[in-house]
Amino acid sequence: MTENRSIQISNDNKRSPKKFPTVERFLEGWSVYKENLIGKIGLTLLIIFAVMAIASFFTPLIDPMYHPMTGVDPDISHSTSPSWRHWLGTDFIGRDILCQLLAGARIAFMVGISAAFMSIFLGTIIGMIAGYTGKVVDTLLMRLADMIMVMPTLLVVLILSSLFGQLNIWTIVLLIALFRWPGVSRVIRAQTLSLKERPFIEAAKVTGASHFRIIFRHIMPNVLPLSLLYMTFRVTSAIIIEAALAFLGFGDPSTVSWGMMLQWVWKTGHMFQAPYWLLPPGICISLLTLSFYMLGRAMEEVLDPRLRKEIAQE
Amino acid sequence: MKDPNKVIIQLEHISKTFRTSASLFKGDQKEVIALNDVSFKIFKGEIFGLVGESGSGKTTTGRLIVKLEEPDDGKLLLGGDDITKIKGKALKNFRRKVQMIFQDPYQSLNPYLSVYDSVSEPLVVHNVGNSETRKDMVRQSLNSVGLAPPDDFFYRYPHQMSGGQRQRIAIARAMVLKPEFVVADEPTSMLDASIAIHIFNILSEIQKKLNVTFLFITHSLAAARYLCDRIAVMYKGELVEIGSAENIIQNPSHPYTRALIDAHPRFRY
Repeated sequence: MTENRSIQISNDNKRSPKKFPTVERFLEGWSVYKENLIGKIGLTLLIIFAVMAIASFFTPLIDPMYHPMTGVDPDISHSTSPSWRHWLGTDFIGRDILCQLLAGARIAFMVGISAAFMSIFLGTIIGMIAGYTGKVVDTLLMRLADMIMVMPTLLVVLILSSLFGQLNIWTIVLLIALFRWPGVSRVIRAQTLSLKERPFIEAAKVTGASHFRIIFRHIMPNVLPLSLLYMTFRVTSAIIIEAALAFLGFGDPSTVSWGMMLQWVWKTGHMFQAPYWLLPPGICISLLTLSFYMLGRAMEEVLDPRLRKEIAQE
Repeated sequence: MKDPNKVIIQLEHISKTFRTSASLFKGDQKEVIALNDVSFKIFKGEIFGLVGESGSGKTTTGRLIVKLEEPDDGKLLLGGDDITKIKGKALKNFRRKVQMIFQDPYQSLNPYLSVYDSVSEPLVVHNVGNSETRKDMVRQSLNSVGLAPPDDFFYRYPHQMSGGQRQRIAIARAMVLKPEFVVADEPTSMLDASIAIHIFNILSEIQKKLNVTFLFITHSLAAARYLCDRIAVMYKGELVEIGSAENIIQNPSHPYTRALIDAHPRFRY
């Protein structure tokens, strides 16, 4: 009976064009995601910021004075409030604040996503190895993770940059990644520990698969959704750390980031004189980190059906 | 076919004890004796049934034979070679000859691998054939478990299939390398009775076609009688009775075997 039914279902599947499972899984997740208000708000904000980041490439093409770093309005040599020519006003040497804000979005995305990607990459691999190997390797890697975890990232990066002078933006990204993997690796390790007891891992062992193959072919696809979820949270922390560094004057002086803008406001004494200059970067930092956080929360619900049920019951 | 002179698997005085890890504060270790001095031989080409209640050590025996567990004591022989402590290349070679079918088809297939990827994995691992010949081998294997036309199943994922189909995929995966010996650990306990018969028939057909030797682990004497040539009965980690299927069912000598037979539900007319 059951067998007959299953054959019918399979015929239905056959009739529809060949579906790619990743696409199918994605669509399935999307149908859950789009029911989530927080997720929708987060995604909308993210798209707005992405458009801003892309727009930053085009502002210098309109007029050289709209270049975020080098473009100075020839008629202005002090900070001015918003006007038709400069929608958000200008900074202390006559650079357009809106252009800087757009360029800041680009830097924030770049720093956030690349630092998060690197830390996720490290965290996932270390977590899988620790969880799968167990024993001494596990203990060593996890104690190392604990040690790094308790170090305050901002403080260490500050000390390093005061030791070696101004840090390049990519060095900052790398440092954030190096200090931010332990949280991910703990989660991935826990997941790996439960996965490795599952019969399909034993089935792979009986087949003769190597440890390498088991880790990367069987465990990795199963933990990857979780890593991606953690990536959205790591983006948030990376953006905040970079902004804090830049505000404190340890950023890369050749980039225009939101933290950098805040530092210029502060350094030139415009904190209370120029709200049109102080507020936009501050609001942008908060909104972008918030939108990544909301994206992560909504993705969590997609990945964890238990969370979904709770919400349905309410 | 059946060759009572050729022993394929031999267990010699195998013992296995599981210990709970003792901690500093939580008192003493607990020991569970899973297997106690178990010895038997499986002949080439037969289906050998291992029957017992849960906790009797039958699954542990199966896992020992495919080397998912190490025995504490005793020797394990495959075709005369000692395989108790093999490692590296010898172990990989052993893996090619001995396969296992797991109990729960909902757990024994990786949810992220397509049917083709799952079934062809043993071929990839052992570097058998190229991408074209592998496709043929997978097709053959899927055909032999009654999944036809095989190409329709290639890009399906476990969650798109029924339990019976999944278990057949698992069997196809175990059979694709044409192993000499297969351990089937209660392959039908998670399936409906009607599908279970179907799976039994597939196993016995494959057995005839490829001349594989099976160790069939089950808790049901009826299933063992249906499928097996010889049966061994296990009770609390010890082998209590061994003999031909007919003999065991007709004249059980051990009281536990008699209890097992009596415990089997019967239709009353």
